[in-house]
Amino acid sequence: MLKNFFTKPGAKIVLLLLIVLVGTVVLPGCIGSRGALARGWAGGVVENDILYTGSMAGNIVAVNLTDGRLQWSVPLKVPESSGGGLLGCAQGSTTVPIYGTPAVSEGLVYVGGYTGKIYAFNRDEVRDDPRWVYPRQEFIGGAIVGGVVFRDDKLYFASGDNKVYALDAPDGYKEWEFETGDKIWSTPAVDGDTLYIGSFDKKLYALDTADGSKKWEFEVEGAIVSTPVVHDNTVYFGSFDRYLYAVNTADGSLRWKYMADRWFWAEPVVYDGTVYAACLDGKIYALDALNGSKKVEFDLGGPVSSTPVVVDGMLIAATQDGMIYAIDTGSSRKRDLAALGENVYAPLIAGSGKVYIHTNTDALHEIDVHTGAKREIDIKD
Amino acid sequence: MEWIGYVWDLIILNPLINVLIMLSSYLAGSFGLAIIVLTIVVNLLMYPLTLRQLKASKAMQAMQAEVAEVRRKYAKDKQKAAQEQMRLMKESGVSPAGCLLPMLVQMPVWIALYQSVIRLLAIAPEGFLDLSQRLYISWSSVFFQIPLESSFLWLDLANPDFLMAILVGVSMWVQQKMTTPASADPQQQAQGQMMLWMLPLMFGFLCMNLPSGLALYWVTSTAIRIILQYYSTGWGGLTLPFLRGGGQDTKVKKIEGRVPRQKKVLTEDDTTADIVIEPGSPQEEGIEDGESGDNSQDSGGGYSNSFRSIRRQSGGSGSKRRKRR
Repeated sequence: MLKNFFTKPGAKIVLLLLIVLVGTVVLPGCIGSRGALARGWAGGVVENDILYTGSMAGNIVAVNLTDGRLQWSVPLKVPESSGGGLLGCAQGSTTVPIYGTPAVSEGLVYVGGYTGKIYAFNRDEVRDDPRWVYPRQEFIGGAIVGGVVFRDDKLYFASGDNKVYALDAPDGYKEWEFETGDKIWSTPAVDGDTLYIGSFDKKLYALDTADGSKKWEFEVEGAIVSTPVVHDNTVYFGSFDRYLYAVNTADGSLRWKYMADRWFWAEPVVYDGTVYAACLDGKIYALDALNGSKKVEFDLGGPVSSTPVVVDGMLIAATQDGMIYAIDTGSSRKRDLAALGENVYAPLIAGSGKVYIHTNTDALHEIDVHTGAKREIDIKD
Repeated sequence: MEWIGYVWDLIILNPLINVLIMLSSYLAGSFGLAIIVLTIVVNLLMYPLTLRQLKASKAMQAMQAEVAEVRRKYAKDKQKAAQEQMRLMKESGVSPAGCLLPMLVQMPVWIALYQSVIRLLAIAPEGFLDLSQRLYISWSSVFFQIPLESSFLWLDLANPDFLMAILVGVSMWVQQKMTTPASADPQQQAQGQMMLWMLPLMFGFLCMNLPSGLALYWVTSTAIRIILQYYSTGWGGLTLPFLRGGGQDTKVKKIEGRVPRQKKVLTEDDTTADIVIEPGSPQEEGIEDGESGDNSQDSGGGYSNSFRSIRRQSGGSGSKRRKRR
């Protein structure tokens, strides 16, 4: 019957239409062209010349920056009930995507998995099993996209279940949680006894780190994904309403705001009285930290979603299509540093005279900010 | 080839995405309602094309019997068979393109709608970054609307829903059934059966893995097409007990397509086919379309006799009432 069916001209046309439909619609939507599927883009943290980051294979890795060798690589355990559907189009597959930048304490390295779990691994005596996970059973109930922050034996992070959490860092027990009106993708910023975080509910919250009680909230018109940065009693953050905000940390009052053409996604950088705000409109705005007036803008020619870093007085920024620029913060001169030919979404990582860039091909590029000399470090297992 | 994607995004996909966001903002932030409204609007805009397609396929169905006869007659000479088929189509004023062209024209629209929905329901961060580049800078309010409200009725539009997947399969089956004519040709019947089940099963399966927002779009779209089809060609091949006339085309006279008058004979036991030619039967010679079956009282029966027998078999409401008495 099947043979007869496919010999019919009408059936061939229908079959062709089906192939076109599946090929042009379903597969691009499902397999993730243009990013329908979570793959991860972890930043990194450098401690004692060891760089810790999350690979796109779902591993937490430690790289020795002296010799560029992979010290260890441990996979985050795949959740048993990660779902994913029959075709694996929905989230949940064989790897745990990692978006957030890890944090390190004296003995542990912490990282959040997109599937909704926090993992704490020993830094030195590495085993496949983590020292602890939170929650012990099941998952938080929302994706963890932001990074984790370690401060004074506490671990702070936020999740897609709308909540901000504080854990006891050595053993992973929950100390408090605070619920916002929508999911949270940004990383908390902790300054003194206050934690600042933005939510998709279009509010920036200031919470007491002791018990998670709310000190104040500041409402804007768009979702907040950008991680806030605190400097001189002011918290700076960007929003989907296309504004970069400066808010008084004492009472949550607005100091100033600056509008761009598209969303602010990356964390702003404050250096020497200037706020450098990378925007998805392809520009980096240099604004006066005190009043928000624009000093200068740098057109990088492509959207910037990765957080820039300052290394030796130079602001290093990457466009999504892998163009790396160095901007002299003194003279405001911009120069090309490298063209990686790979997509860059992860926050850049500052090293000693060098910048480390984790790309979408899971390569870690080391670039000397003065000479532009490159070295590729393999973080694949 | 990259320019094709660029042009596609520029003139089709990005406008649709922005319109959907604006619609959502006007509909109390409900993205589910926005999907439904846009699907209705697009279907209404394409109504002339849909109508043309329905007419053409109706006319093609009406010719099936004659085409089958030609194939049988010239089974050994395929070239001649093809020529004869073309001649028949020409005489009837039917072009195969009439069936396919509207479908081909509509496909890009369906694809664009599909892609818009899947991008707007992005749950992964990568999806948001892609979406940010598609928003119109001059439409400032679209920036505030993201992320769109993903809950609608019992659905989380960003996640698969089993019930919606079932609804997609069932609605597609109904629509397919309405367009699948019964055929005396076993090969065509097999083909019809295959089509009847393949699409619904395939789309139902896909919907179990894709965001239910897409299933909502498919269900809405299929429901609209069922309604349009009903008003254009009636229930077609759909035979359910509660349908008056047992699935016969009660609306069939509204649109007949451009089918010329031709010889038609219905057999006693044929309850669904529009036209069946029984090769070599006595009816083939004597009954013209439009003539009353009362003129031929032989065993084959004319149109009216056949129709009466169909009504009796299908158990119309009138006969039920009589039974109760």
